[in-house]
Amino acid sequence: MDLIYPYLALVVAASVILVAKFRTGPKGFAEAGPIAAVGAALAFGLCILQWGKAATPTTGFHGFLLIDRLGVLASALACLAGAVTAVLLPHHLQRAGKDRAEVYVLLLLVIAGMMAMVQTDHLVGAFVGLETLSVGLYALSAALRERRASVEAGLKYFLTGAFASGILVFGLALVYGAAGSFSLPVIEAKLVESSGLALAGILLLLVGFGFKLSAVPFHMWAPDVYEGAPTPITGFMSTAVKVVAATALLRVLDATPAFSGQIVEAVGWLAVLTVTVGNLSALAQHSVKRMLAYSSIGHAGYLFLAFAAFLATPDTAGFSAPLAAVMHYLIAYTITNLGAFAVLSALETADGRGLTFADLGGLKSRSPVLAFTLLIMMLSLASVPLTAGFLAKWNVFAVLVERARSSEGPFFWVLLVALILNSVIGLAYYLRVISAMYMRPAPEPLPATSPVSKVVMAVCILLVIAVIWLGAGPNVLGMGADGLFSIARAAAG
Amino acid sequence: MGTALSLIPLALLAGAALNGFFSLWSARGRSVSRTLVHVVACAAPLFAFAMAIQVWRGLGEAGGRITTQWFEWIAVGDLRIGLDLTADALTCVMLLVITGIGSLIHIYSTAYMHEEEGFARYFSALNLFTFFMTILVLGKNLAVLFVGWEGVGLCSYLLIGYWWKDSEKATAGMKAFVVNRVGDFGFLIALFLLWRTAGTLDFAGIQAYATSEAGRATLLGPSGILGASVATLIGLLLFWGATGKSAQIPLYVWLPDAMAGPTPVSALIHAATMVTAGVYMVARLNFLYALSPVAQGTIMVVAGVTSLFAGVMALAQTDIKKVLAYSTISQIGYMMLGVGTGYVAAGMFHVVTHAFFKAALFLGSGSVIHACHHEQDMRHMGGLRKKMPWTCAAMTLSAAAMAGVPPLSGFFSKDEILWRAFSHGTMAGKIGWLCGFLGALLTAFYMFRLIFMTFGGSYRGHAHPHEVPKPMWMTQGALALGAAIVGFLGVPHILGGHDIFGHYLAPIIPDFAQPHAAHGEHAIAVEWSLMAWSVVMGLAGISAAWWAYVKKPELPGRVTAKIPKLHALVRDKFRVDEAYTATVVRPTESLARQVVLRGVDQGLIEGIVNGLGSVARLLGRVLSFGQTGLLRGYVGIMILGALLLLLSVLG
Repeated sequence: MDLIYPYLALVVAASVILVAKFRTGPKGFAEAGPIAAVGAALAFGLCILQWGKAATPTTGFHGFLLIDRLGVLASALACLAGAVTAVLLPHHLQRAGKDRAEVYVLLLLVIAGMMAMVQTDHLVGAFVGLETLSVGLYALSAALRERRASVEAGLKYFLTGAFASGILVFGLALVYGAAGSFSLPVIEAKLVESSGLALAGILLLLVGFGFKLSAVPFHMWAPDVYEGAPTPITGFMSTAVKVVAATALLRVLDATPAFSGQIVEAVGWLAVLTVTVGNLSALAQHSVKRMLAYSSIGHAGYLFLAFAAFLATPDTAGFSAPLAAVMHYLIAYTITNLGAFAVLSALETADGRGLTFADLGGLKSRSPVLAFTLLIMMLSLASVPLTAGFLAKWNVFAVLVERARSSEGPFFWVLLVALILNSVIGLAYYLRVISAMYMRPAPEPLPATSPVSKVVMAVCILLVIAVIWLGAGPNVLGMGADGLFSIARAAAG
Repeated sequence: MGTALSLIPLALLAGAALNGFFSLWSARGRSVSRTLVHVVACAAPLFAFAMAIQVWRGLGEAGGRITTQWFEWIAVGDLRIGLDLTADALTCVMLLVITGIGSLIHIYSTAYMHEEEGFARYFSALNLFTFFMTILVLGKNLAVLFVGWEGVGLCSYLLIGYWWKDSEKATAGMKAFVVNRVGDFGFLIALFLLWRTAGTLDFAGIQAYATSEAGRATLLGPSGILGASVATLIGLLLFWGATGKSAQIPLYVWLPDAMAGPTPVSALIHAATMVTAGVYMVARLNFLYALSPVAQGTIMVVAGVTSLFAGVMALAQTDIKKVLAYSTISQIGYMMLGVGTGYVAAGMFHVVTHAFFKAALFLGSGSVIHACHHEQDMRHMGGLRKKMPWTCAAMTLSAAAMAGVPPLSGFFSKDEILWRAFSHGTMAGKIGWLCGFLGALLTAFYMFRLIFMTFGGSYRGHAHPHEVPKPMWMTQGALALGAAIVGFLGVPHILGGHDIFGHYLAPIIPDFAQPHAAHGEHAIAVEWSLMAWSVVMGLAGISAAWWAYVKKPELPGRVTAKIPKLHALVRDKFRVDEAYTATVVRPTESLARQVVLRGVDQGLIEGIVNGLGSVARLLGRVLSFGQTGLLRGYVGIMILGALLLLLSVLG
């Protein structure tokens, strides 16, 4: 029972909101946002409490639930992203004249789906979790249903997502056909030799999860959906969904070592394609929100680079350095991107404008806190030293160098060059944001932003502190630049 | 002693924080006393200077090295990086220059920035810069050095773009930042390789590794890349980083643009301190470069060619600060040439002398610009000799020092470098020497061209120049005086001196005891004749400048009219910026715009790229083409990708 406390926190909070909404009727329920934020934060805290025990994996619910450190870490990140989103949403919805309690219910249930997806080593369990979160997200993307772009985003996400799910299920079927089980430990034991059937299944799973991670060429939906969806939801999708999809994909890849050698090059080339397309497209954007959509494609590419290193690393006892690099990257990227989207959602006007580079002009004097938050987040995304983003990318760089030195042929050197070149390109568009805020004059007329609540400001400041602390801070209570390494390694152990 | 060491950066950080607070305070519309800001801004570096003297005096007692540990920054497995500070002879030299000359420039700034808004922000950034610079030289390991390295770059960016309302200046700041990042990638890779090889980033640890049998063997062993040894690879990558920070070929292009910042900033950051960080780094790791003749040769050739090439570009500039900028690039070339020979005291000595005369020249040019109401074009100056006698005297003395007129400081430091390069016994050394030797002629010529155009003849502008306030001419005078006498610290043995500076740095130079024994008895004769020749070159340059700009002022016009194309090429700085734009910047931009945006985005998702801003247009298209048409494209690409993936792996 104690295995599912975090789920209970989420579901109870969702039920409270639903019931209260029934009672208040059409005049809205203003407390929905705070309740959802508290529920998600509580679930986050409960996940943290599970961390110690999760050192020895426990299974429950007929093998559908697995509590290990990898799953707990990914769940905690999803809860954190959900809590921040629940704080940002009220400001956003109210400004658009909406007060939708059901949005928060969906958000909480999506988080529960995410946790179900990563806290299992059963492929059907993972699939159920994936569908729960996907269906919820389709609706959340369309939450501002008066705004055409939002509805369009929801519809596009749904239609393309349905295809991706179909591919994923087909992959599951093929793997089941080859191994006779959906349980990953059984699959690992059965599939000791490579077979065409299972290989095709794994590749289709790669496509299905790659869709959620917005890997090129399965990314076409991402820019439109990210741009059309309500800004806090975009922040949530670009962080939490990536965390859980990457974790689930890692579990699959970890359970099929017999196929690693055959798919490593394909994963590597997907990574190169993804970083390059993501970064080059981001360079050409006028809207900061859309730029961040492409930037998140670029960051998915960095994750795939680490996946390639993971596949090429021989399975040994102890922790896997590439796996630790992926988890470290996910933590840093989640905190950073949440901060960036917190600022964007605060700056967006009631009709969804105010997010072009020109609109950011002179932000440093209009709102020093928001400008500074975005500055730090951009530096972290650009992986400038002393930020969390730097250590994260440094890790990916380190595992690639390790592979390049110990493997034959130039393949990993190519990946390394792709990483370095794209980091330089990335710098260009992240610095453009900083330059717009700090060096360009304010636009005429000023975008009609509404005042930002103290809570949102506080979240911004906390995220700034987190990014700097996790990038350069000493350890306090086991967290800090150094503590993050240990946590990522423990999750990868 | 450790306390004094910690207090140096901490005092500067406190100054930056206080002034940053004042800056926020005044941004809220509250008035802040100018005097208070000035006192805080100048007290911080002066206090740090006093502490640096303490450290310098206590160094001998402490056995040549003082260390203090702040806290452990990163500790993972075998990687341990502490925020540790250390000072040895080399650090002390840099510390005294940074805090000493830094203090003078802070004092000068109080008068120079008198009329500017946001002075608290300016001084905050200036203090912060000095803080990062001390961190850079105090770092006990390469990671801390890198923190300082990035920090000074950031402050330089802030200070170049100080007048950020002017977009040209903001762009100059951005350019400096981006070009430096190109260098940083080389630097970072080198750090990583070094850690992989030596297992530590600590200077002492790397030195112990490089001198141990096993470490030496690994470093001299093949790296697997282009047949280079590991030491060569690391050395060249580090030098790649240094070409960015220290403005050497091919990454020098940011420095002339950086002149857009306030002139005291140019004096402190772009002449005396930050740009010498690359020289310091090579000097600090001299034991590593000693293992790689290839890396040393590369440094000498690149540095020599830079010194000559930048000297040529300085000839045709008419903006007084641009002349000084190219001259700085050229002089850093000499410093690099000096440390590239392996006898790092030669290069470091030039760092010190250059800090004096170039800071004096920059401050002097700042005074001239100040007096001429922000006029920077030397064609609209002239005749300032009578109107600004102190500035004229200080600048002429510094220019003479830089031109190598004996017995001023530049004479001793430049000759030491040229002699060491000449007697290095390699082809690279000879090339470096030849470039530096010819560069000496150019140096004398363009410096005195500047002096004669600014102070000689009669005034050609429309302002009413007058001598600058006391804090300004006194600080530049003090620096010029320093430029005149600091050379006596390094009087070579053949002139009856003791080379005090060289002996002071001896503990950090491994092969100090037997410098270039190969030359034997000829050495003294060679040294004498090299010295005589470079004095001749210097005097020839000065005479030529006098001839062309005082005696026959119409001569330069006639000469340039005869070679219009060559002159235009030099005046346009060999169009290197344009070449970079055409080969690097534009292709990247157009790849982004043409291929990805048009090809992938617009080609497939016509019109939607403009996103929310054009919902109406989007709807029109959706109605005419149909929503499914667009989505079919998305899904089609996805299926195609999946099929390709399957075929490539299964097929």
